[in-house]
Amino acid sequence: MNLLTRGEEVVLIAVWRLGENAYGVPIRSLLIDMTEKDWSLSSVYDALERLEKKRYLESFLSEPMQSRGGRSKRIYRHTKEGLNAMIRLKTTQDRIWEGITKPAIEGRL
Amino acid sequence: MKNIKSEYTPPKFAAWILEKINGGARSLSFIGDLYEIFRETAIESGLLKARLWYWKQILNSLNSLFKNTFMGSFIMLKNYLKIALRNLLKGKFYSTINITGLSIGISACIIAILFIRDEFSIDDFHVNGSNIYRVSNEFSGPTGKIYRTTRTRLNMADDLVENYPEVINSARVFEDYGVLSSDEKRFNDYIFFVDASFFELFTFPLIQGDPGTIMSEPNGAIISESLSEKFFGDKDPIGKTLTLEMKHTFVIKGIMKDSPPNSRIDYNMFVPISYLRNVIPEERYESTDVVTYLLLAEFASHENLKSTIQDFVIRKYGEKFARRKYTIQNIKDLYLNSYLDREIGKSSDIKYTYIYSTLALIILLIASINFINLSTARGIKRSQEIGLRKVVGARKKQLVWQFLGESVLTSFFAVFISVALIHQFLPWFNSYTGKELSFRLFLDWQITAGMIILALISGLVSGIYPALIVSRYSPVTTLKSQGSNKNRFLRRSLVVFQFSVSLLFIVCTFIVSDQMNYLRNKDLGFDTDNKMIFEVYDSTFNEKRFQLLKNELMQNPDIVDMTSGFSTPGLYNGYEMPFEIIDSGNNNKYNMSLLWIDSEFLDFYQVKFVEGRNFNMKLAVDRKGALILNESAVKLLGLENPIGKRIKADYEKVEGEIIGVVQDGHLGSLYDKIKPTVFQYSLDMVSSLSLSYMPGSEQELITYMNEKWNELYPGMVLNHFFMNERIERQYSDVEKTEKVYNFAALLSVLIACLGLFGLSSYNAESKIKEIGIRKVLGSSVSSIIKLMTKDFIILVLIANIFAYPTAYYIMSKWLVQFAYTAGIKPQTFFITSLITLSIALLTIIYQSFRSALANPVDSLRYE
Repeated sequence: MNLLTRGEEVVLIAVWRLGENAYGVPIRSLLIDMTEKDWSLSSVYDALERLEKKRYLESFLSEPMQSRGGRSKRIYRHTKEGLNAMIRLKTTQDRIWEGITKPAIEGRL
Repeated sequence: MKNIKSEYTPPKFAAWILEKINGGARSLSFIGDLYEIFRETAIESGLLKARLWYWKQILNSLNSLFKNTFMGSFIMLKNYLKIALRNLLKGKFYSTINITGLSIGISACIIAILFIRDEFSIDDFHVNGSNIYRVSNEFSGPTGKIYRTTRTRLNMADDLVENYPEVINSARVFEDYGVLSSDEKRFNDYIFFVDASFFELFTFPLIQGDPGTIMSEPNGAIISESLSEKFFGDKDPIGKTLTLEMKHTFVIKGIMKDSPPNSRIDYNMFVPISYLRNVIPEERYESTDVVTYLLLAEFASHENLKSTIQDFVIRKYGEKFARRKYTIQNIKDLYLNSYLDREIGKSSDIKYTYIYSTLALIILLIASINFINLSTARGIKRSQEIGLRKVVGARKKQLVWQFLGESVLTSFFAVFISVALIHQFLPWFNSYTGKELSFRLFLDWQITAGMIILALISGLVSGIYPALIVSRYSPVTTLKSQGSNKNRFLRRSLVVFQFSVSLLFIVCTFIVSDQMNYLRNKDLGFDTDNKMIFEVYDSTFNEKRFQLLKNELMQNPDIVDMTSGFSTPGLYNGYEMPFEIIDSGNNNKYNMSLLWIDSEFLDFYQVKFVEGRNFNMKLAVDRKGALILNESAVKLLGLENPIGKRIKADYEKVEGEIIGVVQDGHLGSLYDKIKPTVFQYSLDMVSSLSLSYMPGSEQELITYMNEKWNELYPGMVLNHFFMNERIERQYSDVEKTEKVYNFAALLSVLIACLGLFGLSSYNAESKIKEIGIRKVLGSSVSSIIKLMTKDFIILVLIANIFAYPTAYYIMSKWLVQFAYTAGIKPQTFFITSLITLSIALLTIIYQSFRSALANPVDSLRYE
């Protein structure tokens, strides 16, 4: 399995959540909402392009749109490998966090 | 959804940059995404914030670009830099040669750039500059000689504005030189008579006063700050008066900044052109000739005016103007590309920009050749490094970039040193060109950019060939051979080229300075020693005045003799016109120059008579009806017994009997052939007084003359010059050329010898074992020196073959401008060869001796 950075991991999940609408702008705003940090569009694209290179994501261009200055959208979706990777991620995450609850952590404060 | 305004689009320039940075697949959607976010931000937080955000994306993109593409090669880059520095330090000797040469070349180029930029900046500050044109015309004189002049009739400007819709404004300028006086002080200066519109056409910085109103008043004046300072010190000049030639009083109503250094016109005082009526006599007023500037409407073409102005002039002013050819010139062309008589303001010649830039580039090229030669020669030494890099997996392309990087690094070092060199040499260059160039690094982005570009170019030019050669080495072959013959051939050709250029410059220096000496020392056919010339500005000067003045001045024992005339010999040929021989039976015309002189003029200058006699003032006929000819004139007329023959010229109503013939003399400069000349007695058109004096009394004499002059003409300032100096001043162009070649020769020889020194050192280094073996086997010191020097000397000799024909060609073209030349002497070439050979020999002999005297034990110890 290709290792994913934390950023790539979040982007992979963001694409899942957005479904049909997974292109640059909403991905970025979702990332900002999820992580509560400012993401530059470039860094979003960096992550997306790396994920594509690792064959977890694939993309296609939409028709050019007037509202985008005559540019297309590049819409991303998971490949089979990408979905597998998500499964593995989810499994690992769950295993790591198993039995740990937020109240428990807060109780130690 | 809110209605989005159409102007909510991202900044175009930023978008363009972003598009360039985010090339490839990303650009297709990335820019679109940015567009979308931009609009959202604009609607939510305002346009300004959106724009700021959009610009910020450039930084983000660059960051991303750097991370994605450079990170991998960054580590290699660091390694290249380290190796480059190590190599520079390891070969300190060769690096010094390279950097010294390149820095000299780069300094020369930067100075050339400064010079050219300054030349092209002349008059470029006028806001309307591209729409201002000057009317000029040419006409042929009585003998068919073409005169080109800047002057037009007084009323032409208004007529053109009236008849051409595209001409929206005009301004006329008339200049006068004379004495300006306030109550206490007097100075000579130029004064410009201009239309009020002059200040609308041209952009001159005004401090106080409105030029429109001042120039519409009868006697208002605007003066420059420095003139105000000269006359009135710190006091406010407004309301004070200045008087021109003690007659015309102007009231100062405005002050302007001094003329900018890049202004053609160096002004100090402007007065209304309408005042000319009071200066120029009524009968001559209509024919006053002024310079006419026209302002064309923006976007209007000047072609129509240019092509129809001639017809217009004939239609308007009559057929007699048909022999004049009128045209217009843009004011931006006047400084470098206009060679007319009676220009207002300074002029230069575009040829200087060509000459300086060519020479600077050649010097840089010679320096680059040093780099090429030393790098290819020493490339062998780096074969191990190259081999290892190749084994580890470096591609040829990477190696090429590495070596190019090294040469660029070297030339950047050279740029640093050239900064110091320029600081050192710029004042010298300024005093020689009469410019005020300044070198402000970093403050002047063009120069900073220029230096970086020069560093890159010289780095690439000198590095590309060595890089290609060295990177091609295969580790296997480099171990076997000592460089291919092909390289050695190239190196030798380049050395030949360097020395050809150096020889060329040396020969040119010699020939030009030969010519200069010739011009200085040529016997002009009259005596020029211990003579002083005083300029006379007095249209009422006549014989009576001259006699009074002479009687008075001759009482001063320091004054040996004095005379006067329409001009001074050596400076002016006289006015050419067609003469004919009376009673010759035909009416053949002969073009000869007419010169008005005092009766003792020829004796004063010790001009020798071939036959006949001088003017005799006791004979009434000599005052008007007697003419003296020079030998060329007699020859032209084909007269066997000229004395007593009568000739005439209708043009100036000259007619008279030939009473004497004098030897030919160079009345004009040596650029011109001796003209057939006719001397006539007249003191009505005097422009100068000539005095011969006792040597050593010059200073007292000047003071004395100025005192006398002030008695005669209160307020007038007397200009004086020494005759020999004044004649020599005509050849300042030659002197300039001499200096340029001299300097180019010096630099090219210096750099070429540096290279030769480097090569000979390398040669000695690589032959160290061979020499050791030779010595062990019994070779003598002298035969080793011969072995070491022979090759280089042959190269320098071959360079002669290329240099001399080129030099001969260039110099014979240059000498064409002179009617009288020193010629090109064969010994010049011989001496040049001798000098260059000795310098080359001196350069290499040190290394040769060192290797020849070395103990073979040292060189062979490790074998």
